Amino acid sequence: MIGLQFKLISINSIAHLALKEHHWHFFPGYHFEKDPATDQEVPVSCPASLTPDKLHPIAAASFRDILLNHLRSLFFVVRFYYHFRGWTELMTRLSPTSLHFAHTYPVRVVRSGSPTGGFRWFEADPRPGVEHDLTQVFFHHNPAGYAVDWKNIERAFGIEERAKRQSFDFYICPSVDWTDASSLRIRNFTPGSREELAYLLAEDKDHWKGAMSFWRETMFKGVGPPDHGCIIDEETFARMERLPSTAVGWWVFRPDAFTQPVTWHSVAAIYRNLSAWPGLIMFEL
Amino acid sequence: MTPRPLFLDSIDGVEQHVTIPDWNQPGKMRTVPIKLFNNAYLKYESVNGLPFASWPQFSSLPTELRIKIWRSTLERYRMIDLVIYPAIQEPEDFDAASDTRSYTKRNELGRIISGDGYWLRLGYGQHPTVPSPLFAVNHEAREVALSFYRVRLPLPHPDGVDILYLNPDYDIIYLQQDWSGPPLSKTQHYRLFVAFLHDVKAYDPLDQG
Repeated sequence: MIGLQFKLISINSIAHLALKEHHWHFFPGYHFEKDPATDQEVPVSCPASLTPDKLHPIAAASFRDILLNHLRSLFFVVRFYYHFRGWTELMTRLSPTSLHFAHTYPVRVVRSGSPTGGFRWFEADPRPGVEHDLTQVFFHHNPAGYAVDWKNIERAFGIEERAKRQSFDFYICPSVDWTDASSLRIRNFTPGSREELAYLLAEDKDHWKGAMSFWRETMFKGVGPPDHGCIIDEETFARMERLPSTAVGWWVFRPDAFTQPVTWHSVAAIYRNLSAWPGLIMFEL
Repeated sequence: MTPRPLFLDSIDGVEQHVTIPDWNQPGKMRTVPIKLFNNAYLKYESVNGLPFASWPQFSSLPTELRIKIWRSTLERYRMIDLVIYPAIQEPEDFDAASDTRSYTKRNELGRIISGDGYWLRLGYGQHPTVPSPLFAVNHEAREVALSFYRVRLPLPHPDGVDILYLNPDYDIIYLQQDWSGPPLSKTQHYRLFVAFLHDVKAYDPLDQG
């Protein structure tokens, strides 16, 4: 048995929904306020902005019914901090020892190979090497904040607690977002084509090689870092290159994967050594 | 939880070579490899799955069994990419509470629908309005498919209306906004989102709400 699959449980109508970060205003995410006690900027959740008074009365009642009785899962699709799997720029600002090419970060591309959008859902990502890539994970916002936003919306519609049968799961789905690679459109690739994917993968690799060479020559005066980065050894890197370790899809986390203390850089939420193992939604191509 | 890793490097034919422009040498091409877990796993599945490409005796099976087999091919998860955008631009002072235009029409199931406030289009390359090859195999398979995809959701667009066949047990709707049009007010943004969800509910014949 290779990775148990989640069972999508449904009653009727809209049971499973996926939404994209930045597409929906009612997910403000955390903003920062100064804590008077410590004088530090701390993340604070915003109040719900989607409230019943902004809707037609029938729509408000219907939405409450959907939240309470219909919607069973919400997949919140977020981007990793950087557009490449080797995040050399931010890593180097943090620490040269962070340099790493994350082979198993799932990549998100325009999907057109499977006209019906079929996918497999692994409860635990079965690819080797995931453990190395969980040692450092970077986002623009704390993803757990979006689950808090959704909870605030539920409260605004009078839903405080659910009966046990009214199960609802909120999933955080990170991936490296290549769906809006505008440079590709200029190059006239057909969106979702193999040529486009090949171009993106090659660009990803070239960026890593080029960046490592640049840092070696400028920052490190010709001494290190090695081509395999600083997290894994040369042999492991070579093995990851040899294996089909790249997946087009999304990782799937529960929000509580991100409740451990977070290091807030000026622009990024940084997680070290995530203890939660991600699931994997893998698309048919 | 750390799963037992899958080693798929022994599956032949996983690596594919694709020729693309070489951005370091304008006008020239280069060949690059693609080696995806997606392809490796699906190949692994097919190697370990049903061995029959065709089986002429299928039509001799009892009807009940044939229907079960048809249905088993449909019971697969799908991610349906939908892009929503406004059909009308609401005025700044639009008051949802006194809106007498929306939520007045009924669909063929007798349910109230939101009205004409949005248009929908599928993501690039997706054609779930033809959700399965079973629709085109024979009458029996088509009937099974029509029964399986019980929600027939209209996809209104500037040139007409398409129908999206859905099974809420297996389908995840990945709803995205089209940001290329004029900017929406926050409240119209909220109303589009809720109107769409309301309509999916209204088009499910099993919904009791």
